[in-house]
Amino acid sequence: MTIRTGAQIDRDLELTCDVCIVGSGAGGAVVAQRLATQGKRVIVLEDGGFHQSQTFDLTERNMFARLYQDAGARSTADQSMSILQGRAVGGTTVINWTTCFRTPERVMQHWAEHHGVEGLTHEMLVPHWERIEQRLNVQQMRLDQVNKNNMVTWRGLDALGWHKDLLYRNVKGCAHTGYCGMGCVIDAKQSMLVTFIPEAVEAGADIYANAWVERITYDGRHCTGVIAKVRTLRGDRFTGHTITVRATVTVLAGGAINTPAMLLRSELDPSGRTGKRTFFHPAVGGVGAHAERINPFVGSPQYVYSDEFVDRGERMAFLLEGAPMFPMTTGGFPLSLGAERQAETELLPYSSLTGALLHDGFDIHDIDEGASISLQSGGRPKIDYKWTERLVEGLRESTRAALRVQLAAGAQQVFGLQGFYARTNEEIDQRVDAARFGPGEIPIFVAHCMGGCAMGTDPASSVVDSRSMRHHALDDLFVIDGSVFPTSCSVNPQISIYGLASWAAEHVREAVG
Amino acid sequence: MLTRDEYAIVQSVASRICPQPAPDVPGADGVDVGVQVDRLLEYVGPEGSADVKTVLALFESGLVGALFFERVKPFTQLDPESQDRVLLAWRDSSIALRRTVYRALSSLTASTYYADPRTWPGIGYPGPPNPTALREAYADQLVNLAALLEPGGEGEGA
Repeated sequence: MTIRTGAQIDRDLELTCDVCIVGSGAGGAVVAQRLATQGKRVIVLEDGGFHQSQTFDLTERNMFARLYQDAGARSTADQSMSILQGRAVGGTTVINWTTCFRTPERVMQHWAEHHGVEGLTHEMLVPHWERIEQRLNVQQMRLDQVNKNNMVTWRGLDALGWHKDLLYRNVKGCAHTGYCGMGCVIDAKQSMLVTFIPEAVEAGADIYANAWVERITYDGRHCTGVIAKVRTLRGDRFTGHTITVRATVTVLAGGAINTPAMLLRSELDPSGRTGKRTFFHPAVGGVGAHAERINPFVGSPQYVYSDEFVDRGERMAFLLEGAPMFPMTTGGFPLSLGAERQAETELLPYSSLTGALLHDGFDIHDIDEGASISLQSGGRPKIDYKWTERLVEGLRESTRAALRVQLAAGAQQVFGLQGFYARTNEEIDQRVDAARFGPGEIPIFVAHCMGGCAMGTDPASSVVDSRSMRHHALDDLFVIDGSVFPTSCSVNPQISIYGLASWAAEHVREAVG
Repeated sequence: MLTRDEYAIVQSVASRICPQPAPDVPGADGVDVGVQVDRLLEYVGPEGSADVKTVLALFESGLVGALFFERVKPFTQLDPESQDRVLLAWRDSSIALRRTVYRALSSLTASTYYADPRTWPGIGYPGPPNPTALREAYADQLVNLAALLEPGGEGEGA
């Protein structure tokens, strides 16, 4: 069948199908492809636009505006965390950095032991991951491919004697330009946009882009409809037309933040847990200024990582990864004015960044609640992150570690994202110990959104049933995206979501009959 | 999306944070950061723009300034040196809300400024590779996404 955009919908539509899927990213696209190729009538509703790769110009200004939620300006209510989440046919897979990890076994054990997850194990997902990884050409990078920026992190980790390894990426025919975050212009990134979405459409799925699902309707334990408002292609306004879909089974796959918001707009929150425990892998890092040109915007975003700090006992763990720098996103780092700020930004070509992803949500005393999603005007999600001492300690120590990596790699000076400088390990300790790490004190980036519709078996403490991904309150409603994770997954999450979706698609098929 | 007054606040803040760095590189005035922010807010929509408008109003207010014995005039009516003093006072304030407002304004204006290609020569950034040349070089692997679109339809950015 086809993809239709908001420009092609000039009247209200009433549609019927076997499966209506809300969202076309890592969860929705996998389910759509699976069900469509099995002969089911599938309709996908996607809030974002259908952006073809020949229209990508690779500039941050244009591509963030087109491909990201809130034009790249999504943030927590207190502005302390910038949330980079995709919004397009293909979802966040269109703009992610292609880093691939399976969900660590220890994470799934934690979910079973502390969050009542039953009926879903690491072992059960392995065959799904294997199939998906083969389809998406997931391969480990070689050391000779690593760019200068990531090589700095590699050298620093090596000098410190810390764990280091090369990352896996889902690319095919990659030019290693480094512009994955602005959409892949040569279709090398094996995103949902160029893999499972075309396959789903060829198998008969219909995809409606620019269709924002306002709510679902239900009667008793049955979903009776999905109601979407159609948007314009340009200006992002509602056209006044609606799409109403009546399906045998409905799958919500709008991702963390948007799926809980959709359920809240639908007033479907019997446990009061919808939107609670949303986790972000809050990301900080350390920048090093080097004598030679690093050009941290050239070469793929990520090649190397370190597990050195994934077990910190009761304290918040973190993953170290190489990370790119671009003018728009890093131009906002410094806090200085005028000539001083310009001088700092002129260091860009000589800079390298080691990033740190914090593993939020693993506190067994339930202090780490992460973010809570509620609704604000227009039904938009309001995102309130609860800061804890654990988080602040994690931000401080991960910043210290990232700075040490840069210094050990030979940086002439290193600077924290608050703007402080250091030239020795002693200075790093002094500056890090003295710096503020509370909300608003340090720029925090979020590229991984998880939780808010936690899976489990107890309807009082979870939103969906971990044995099937079926919503506890409705028999014909499933949630299949990163929102079902009870904590963050501690690694870049795309493979975790693909595997989960592949496994859950069988339960959807059984429900369709 | 921005009113004339809001545009003036953005321009005033941006011109202090990102003044002209060199004769051949424009400053925030030259790239018209206010217009660029306005375009960004077009994408975000009126509801999403509300937070930005609130921050601008809070920062501009002479009344808020007076509460901190900082100024009684609106920010846009101060001379450049006084504007710098006010910006630094918000940045280094002991009150978290003021620091957060500074960070939000600083990030918004500087990110917008450095997103403009005219500023790139000033920071040694060569810009992205030519997408057309890349597509020609990798033509054999391109996916025909246009074929998925309903006949007569239009994708975004086409």
